[in-house]
Amino acid sequence: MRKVFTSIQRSIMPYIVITAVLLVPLALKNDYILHILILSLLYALLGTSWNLLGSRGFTSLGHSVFLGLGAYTSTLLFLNFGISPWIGMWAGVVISVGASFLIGYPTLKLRGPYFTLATIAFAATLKHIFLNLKSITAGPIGLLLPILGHAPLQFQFVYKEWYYGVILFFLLIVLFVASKIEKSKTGIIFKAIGDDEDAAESLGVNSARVKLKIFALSAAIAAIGGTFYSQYVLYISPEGVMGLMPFSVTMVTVAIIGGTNHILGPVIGALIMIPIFEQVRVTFGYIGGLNILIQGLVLMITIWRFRQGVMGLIQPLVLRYKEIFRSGPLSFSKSSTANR
Amino acid sequence: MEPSWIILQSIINGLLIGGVYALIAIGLTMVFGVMGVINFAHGEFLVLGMYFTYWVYTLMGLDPYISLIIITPATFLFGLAVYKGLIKIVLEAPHRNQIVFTLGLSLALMGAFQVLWGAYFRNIHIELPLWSFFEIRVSGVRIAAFIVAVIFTAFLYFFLKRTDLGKAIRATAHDRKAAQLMGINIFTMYALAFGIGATSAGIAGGLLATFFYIGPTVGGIFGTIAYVVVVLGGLGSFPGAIIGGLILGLVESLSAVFIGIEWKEAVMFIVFMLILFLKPGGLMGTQAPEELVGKRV
Repeated sequence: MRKVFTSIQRSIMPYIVITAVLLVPLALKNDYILHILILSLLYALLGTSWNLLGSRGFTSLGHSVFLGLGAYTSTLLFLNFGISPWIGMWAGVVISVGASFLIGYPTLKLRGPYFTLATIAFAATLKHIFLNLKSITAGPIGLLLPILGHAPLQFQFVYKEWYYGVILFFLLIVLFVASKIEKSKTGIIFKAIGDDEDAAESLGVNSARVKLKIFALSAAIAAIGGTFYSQYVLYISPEGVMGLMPFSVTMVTVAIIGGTNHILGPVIGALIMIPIFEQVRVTFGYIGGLNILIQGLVLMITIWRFRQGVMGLIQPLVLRYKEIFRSGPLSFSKSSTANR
Repeated sequence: MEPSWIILQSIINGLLIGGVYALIAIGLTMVFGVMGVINFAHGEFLVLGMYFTYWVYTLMGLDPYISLIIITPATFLFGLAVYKGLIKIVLEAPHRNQIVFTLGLSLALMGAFQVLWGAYFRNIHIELPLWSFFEIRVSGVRIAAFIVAVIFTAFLYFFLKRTDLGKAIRATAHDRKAAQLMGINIFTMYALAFGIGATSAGIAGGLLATFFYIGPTVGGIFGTIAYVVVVLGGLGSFPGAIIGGLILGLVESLSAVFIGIEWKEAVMFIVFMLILFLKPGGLMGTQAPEELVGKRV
């Protein structure tokens, strides 16, 4: 009897705990705190998307391109055809996945830094194309979404609580999918590829195909984040959503700082870093570039001293807790690949 | 002006800027070839050279071409210091950590420039005679930049080909273990390669400062161009970087004429993607040693 309870507890408990913790801010009724939390959860989602590949050593530095494709697809469909962004979001996912095949198929076969360089160049290419297709995208001016008031069916809300609820829901689904993937056959094979690609291939694994699958999933998640971003801010521009800064770089930052070896790493990283960035922006707004400087220093220090990120610091404590109580709500993967 | 003159003019302009691109890329490709590290802060090293030239020119009135004499050893020492203090940390780290670390360095430098000198753009105004030949007019500063870039490249080429030290660097790039067995201190070679890489970026920055705007985000533009050139020519290949630079310069200026100036970046990147898809080893067909390219991520 106890065993049954434990297994149910194990599978559901983490989500109940996370949801309960993250629902607390709704009671605060403070729009500024909610805004920062919404941004943090968005970055948590993007960091998780990046980390699907990043945790196994495949570094994309152009991931904002998928966010941008998601944002532009849903926005253009809404502006031109009046299609609800809830549907447009899925169109964005399809286009993003298509783009991930386009860039992933030729470059994921290559080893070394080619993939990273290709993702940078791909993002730069699409950004410049979007900047120049002025008749469709309005070029560098960007697109403004009309303010509809409270229109849940059109993915627009007046109250921040709604946006918070939506991004929290998205994040939980994404975390659930990511943890399922990690334990699935594909996930295990992908981990083996990250550990030793030659060995995995010699066992008959089509490594390029597995990498492509994970890349496509990662792109799909980023596209969902893109639609959310465009509906939250109601304004998108090529430089803003497809440029290296802020999205491509910051999603790497939150994942690295949180710790890439744990599924909750990017979430923790985002909940720590995004409030800091926002507070720095508010307090030291007159010193431009301070956030970029902090981000760079934090990245270097993390790689230098805490390769496992914040999760790597917490993990030993939780493992000790687990030893004492024998059943913990959060399961940790003990092996590390990318952070040897 | 006749259309044929326009084409000839844009070919000349493309080759001139291509020479500077080649100079930037040589540093990046050398660092990768020797150490197996892609330096994502390469563009920021270039901006450092730009700011140096700017401040020396504005505060001391020193001619940008004379300040190159100071920039060369200064950026070399800066490169050595960055190698000793920072890059050494990730020398044996997996690729991903190297990428994230140098990305962090690039952000830190970019942020520092912005904090110190503001986000706005500056420029230096240099008067050099316009060079004209029939209908073609080429600005003197661009010709000067090209000539200096060629001199530095040629100097580096003979240093690598003829001197013992250069041969030792090449041996390290070719096979680290064998080089070590021959009594070469590969870490000294890494330091030298990184210093030379920084110097090439610094000199290119000093040259670009004479006709390009100077600002904290400029590193992103030239950094990306350097990655494109390096992959175009073949990662780790010295002649590849030269040819890649010239080709990219030509592509840029010809596409500005034929397709439209606002499309030139898009065309450059599309050409890059095509090369990556069709001939990932680069145009020169030279691959960096298997040990580097196939290095575990």
